[in-house]
Amino acid sequence: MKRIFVIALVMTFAASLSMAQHWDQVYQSGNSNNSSVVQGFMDVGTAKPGNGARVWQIGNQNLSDLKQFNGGYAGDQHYAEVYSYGNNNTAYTFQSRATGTSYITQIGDWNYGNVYQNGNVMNSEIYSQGNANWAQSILWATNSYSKITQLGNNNVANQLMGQGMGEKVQGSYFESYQQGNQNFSHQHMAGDGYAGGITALNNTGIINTFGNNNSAVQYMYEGSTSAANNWANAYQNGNWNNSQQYQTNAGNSSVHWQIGDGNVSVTVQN
Amino acid sequence: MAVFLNFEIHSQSNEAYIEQVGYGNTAEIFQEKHTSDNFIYLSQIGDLNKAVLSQQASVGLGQNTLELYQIGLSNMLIASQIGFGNYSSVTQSGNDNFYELTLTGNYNDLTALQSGSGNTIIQELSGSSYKIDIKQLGNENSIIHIDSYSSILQMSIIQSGTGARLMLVNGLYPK
Repeated sequence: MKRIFVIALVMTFAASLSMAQHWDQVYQSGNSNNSSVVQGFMDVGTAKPGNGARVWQIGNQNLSDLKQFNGGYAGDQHYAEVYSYGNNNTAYTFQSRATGTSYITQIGDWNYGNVYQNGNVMNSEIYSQGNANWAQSILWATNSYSKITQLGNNNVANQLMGQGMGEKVQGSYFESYQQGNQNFSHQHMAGDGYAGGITALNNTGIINTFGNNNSAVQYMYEGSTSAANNWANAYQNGNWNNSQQYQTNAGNSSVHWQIGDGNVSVTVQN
Repeated sequence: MAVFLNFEIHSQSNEAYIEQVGYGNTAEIFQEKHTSDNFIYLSQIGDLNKAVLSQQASVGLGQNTLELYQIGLSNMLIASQIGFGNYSSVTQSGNDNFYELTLTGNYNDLTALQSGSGNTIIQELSGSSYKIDIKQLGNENSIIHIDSYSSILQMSIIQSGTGARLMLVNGLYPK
């Protein structure tokens, strides 16, 4: 009997070798629950297999804090998923080094989702459905992708890349989609603080809004003398919307699409 | 009532079976070093139960197996397993249950179910491969899990109730 037990264990873990090194699944139902998951290795400079975690929280006033580390940038990919169903929920994902993918889904009102990624080729998506939700994506990475989708009113989408983090920002893509009224979407790509000079090159920012009284603001800062080649695109369908785009250096593109009445657009390129 | 067992069976395997029904029962079982495999079955039905268990299999491919059932109020389990392969299945049903496990091994399969209020699980593990399933049903549940050197881990946690606290730390030390 015990021999069978050991064989079964060996087979189980052999099968898991192709998956993440650490794989956690957490399901919490109820109110005022707290989940903290920390995965990885701290030995700096050594790449390790990746980590994976999936957290479900059903209820109100819940908190999920998910952190994933790797010792080297060449390590396998992190994977994080957080689902929040209810009101006043908060979800954080943090991924450091290696590559990483992070998803946050929040259904309800007054929720907060925050993604922080530090590495190369990072991907993140935040989806919120409800009112008065705040979604924030902070990337310290190159060749990365961030998308925020919000359905409802009075929502905020905030996407920051490289701002004040001492890292260059290159070849990355921001996208936000908001459907509803009184929403605000902000995208900021800047390499200020990077040791080799301020660098924000070849990035793309896209904002799509459907509804009234929405605001879109996009900043792309390139501090060197070379062409920045950043591209900002805002599409707004509705009335009394506002779109602002600010870009420094040369080679940039600014596009506003506004359909409706009483809309305002501003472009500053210098 | 206290029960102290330390079987030594010459078939290279120690096995302990205990069933307790009543108030204030205590079981302490120590299986250490003498055999390749250890096995404990402990069932406590009643109030104020307590169990302190220690299993240490011999060097090599020694395995430890623990099956525990505590049904009633104020149950507590403190367990330690050291072996190549470790298996534990813990069921606690009632109020104020407490389960603490310290484990070292290479292939480990752990299952825990707590139902009732005020349940607590504390696990401190050191080894390589783990498969862990934990369920807590009730309010004010808490889990603290730390596996210092794990290389492969699959963990599933279910907490149902209000005010649950969960802290998982996987492998945050050099290996």
